[in-house]
Amino acid sequence: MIEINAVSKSYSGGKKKAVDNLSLTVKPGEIFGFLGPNGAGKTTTIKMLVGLLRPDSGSIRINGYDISARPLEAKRQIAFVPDTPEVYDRLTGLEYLNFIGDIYGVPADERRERIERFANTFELTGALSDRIGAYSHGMQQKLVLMGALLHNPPVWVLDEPMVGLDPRSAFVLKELMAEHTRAGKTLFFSTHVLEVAEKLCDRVAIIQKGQIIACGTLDELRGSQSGESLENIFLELTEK
Amino acid sequence: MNNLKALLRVQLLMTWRGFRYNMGGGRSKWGLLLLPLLLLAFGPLIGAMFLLYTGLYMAGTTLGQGQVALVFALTGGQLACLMFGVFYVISVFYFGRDLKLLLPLPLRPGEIVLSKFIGILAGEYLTMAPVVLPALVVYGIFAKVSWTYIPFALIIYLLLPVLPLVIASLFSLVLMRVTNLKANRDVWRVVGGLVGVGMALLFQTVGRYQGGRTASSQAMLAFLQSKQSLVDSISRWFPTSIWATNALREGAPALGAGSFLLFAGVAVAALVLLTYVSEKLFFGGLVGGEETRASGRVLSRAELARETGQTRTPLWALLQREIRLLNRTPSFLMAAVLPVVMMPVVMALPLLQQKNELAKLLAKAEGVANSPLVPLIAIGALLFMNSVSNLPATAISREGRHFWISRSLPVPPRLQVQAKALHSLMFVTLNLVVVLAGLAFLHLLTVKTALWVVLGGLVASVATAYAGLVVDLLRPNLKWTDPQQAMKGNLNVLLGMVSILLLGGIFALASILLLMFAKPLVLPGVVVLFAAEAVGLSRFAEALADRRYLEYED
Repeated sequence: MIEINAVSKSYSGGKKKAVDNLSLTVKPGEIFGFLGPNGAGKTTTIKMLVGLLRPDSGSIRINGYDISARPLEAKRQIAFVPDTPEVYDRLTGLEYLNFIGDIYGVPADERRERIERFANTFELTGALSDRIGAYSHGMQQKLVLMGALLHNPPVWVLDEPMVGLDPRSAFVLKELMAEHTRAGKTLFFSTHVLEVAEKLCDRVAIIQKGQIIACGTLDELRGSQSGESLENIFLELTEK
Repeated sequence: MNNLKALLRVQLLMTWRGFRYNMGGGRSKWGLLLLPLLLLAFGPLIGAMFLLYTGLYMAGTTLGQGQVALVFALTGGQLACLMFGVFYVISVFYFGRDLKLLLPLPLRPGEIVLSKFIGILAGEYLTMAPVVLPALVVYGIFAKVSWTYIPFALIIYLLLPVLPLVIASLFSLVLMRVTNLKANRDVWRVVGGLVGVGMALLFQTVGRYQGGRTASSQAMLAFLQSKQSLVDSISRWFPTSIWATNALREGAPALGAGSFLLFAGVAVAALVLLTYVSEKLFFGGLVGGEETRASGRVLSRAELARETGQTRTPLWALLQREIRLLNRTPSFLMAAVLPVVMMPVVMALPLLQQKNELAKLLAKAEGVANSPLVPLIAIGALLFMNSVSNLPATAISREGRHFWISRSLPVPPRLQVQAKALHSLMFVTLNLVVVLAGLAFLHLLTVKTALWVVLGGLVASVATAYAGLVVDLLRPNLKWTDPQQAMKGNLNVLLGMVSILLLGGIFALASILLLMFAKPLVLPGVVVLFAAEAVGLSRFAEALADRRYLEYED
């Protein structure tokens, strides 16, 4: 479960407000889509969610752990995939995964089983012994995903996870996302691909200029105009 | 030409912004706290350089060779550029992140190289300043020079690093072109770079040998009185220093014009040569420079089981990451290995060149081997060697754009800092071995001395590792675009050095006081002092890490 309560964040000494008094809750078993135009505050929100940025005010709790007060416990609950998957290009894929496994204390048997399963799923078996520097953008994205999922965390936070993935891997990821929430776990992701959000999400929030301008199920967002696409709703709301 | 102008504008802008970021300690105000420390350290250094050059000038004028101060400074500045140039050039030419943006543009290789070269040049002026500028000022004040000395001195200062950097660039271009064809490129590049530095050192050694003993002013005077003048002997290896000196020495532009034109002409010709060679070699060394091809080798189940079968503690995993990332990044490894390899060589060279004095020294050594001064001086030497290790003061900076990984890990930042301290200790322990070897060479190594040096040295090394880490925690330089900016171009290296020299100052003061008032306790006292510093600094660094890892914002 993710609880964001009245969170604000400014840059440039308070002159530029990136996130403004944002509150939302993502329940267990829910896929939550986070939408918004470029520069709306999506990545800033996500970075605060995973402890990479400190909110100026407000609080964030991950499965009951406050990310500011108990960051280590909160981080243990999270699988995080950033929008730009930059990992140690001098390590091999397997060395990176072993490093993550050691840090999260994943036992050897579980580690081997998950690496093998994910490598087959994402078609990375032929690249694990290579340096990450030799990977394409999509392969790096898949490796970061594998690392994030290696410790089987209850909360997934994915920033633009489909970018760079080939259609087959994107399909596999969507399946994994659905499987994850079917098991009663939580998923929060940002995307520009509105079709994906429309198909996958139980609820979505649209953020603009740091504020949530709409939040709810697709039906709730459509209101009286049933049958309207998410794309139209998004364009109408963000034009204002 | 227009391309070059546009490229230059971007390169200089990036150098300037990088410098500003570096000086200001990024967005954090914490980093600014260290700047007074830097000024404090630089004041005496610059003062010492002024005194040295004034002494040289005075000694030289008694024999009608006052310009010797200029020759020394100009040669020293060029040597420094040559020795460190190879690593810097390789890093900027071949490992800069901006290459990905530049290569698809319709630019000639010569234009890219020249713009990057001028970017490096701008950085070298700062590096050379403490060595060269005091000599130019001293000569300007004491020698009877006309007003034209000032513009000439300025132009000569601006042109001075061109030739050594072109030599370093040509070496790097050939090295990268050749090693790009081989397997294990990274290893070849480190070895090649070290060979380059070795050659520069050899160059210097031969020059010194030709120049004779220069260690004391008496020896220098004796040499100046000999048939072959010092100026002439150096000119054999660095004629540009002589041309520049002559241009300044004549006092009037008309008299020095020939030398000046020769000096400036060589610099321009070197740039033309660099552009020509870049056109031929740059892209060849670059294509695939950073890229490695995927092997496509599928791990068998047994291999996977073996590779994943061993679990490690988080501390060990973090240490292993530090080791792997350093060893596999040529720019980092070269910058880390260089001081460890060079310092003993630089320290040993003067001794080896003065065989008679060495023999006398060794004869006297037997008598003082058991003196407490021996371990004290050895620990002092170790502290000095540790101060030039750039590992601790760049440990956070080196993570650069990958730092998000460390910050998102569910392990306490203090543990991450402990892993970095351990990694730095592994390197500085090599210094301890070198110091012990030096003592053995000088016939000063007894069991008792060895024990005190090892004990005191290890504790002191823990303190120095954490001192460097504190600097980098306060003002990490994470926004580098080529790896060398995290090492050589990182002001933290200098600040780390200053902080360790401060520890050295405290050590020296405590040693003197103990020798005066409680001589039998001097060695245990020094160990206790370093232990207290190590505990205090490690606690401070760890608490700082827990706080600062949360504060960094990219």
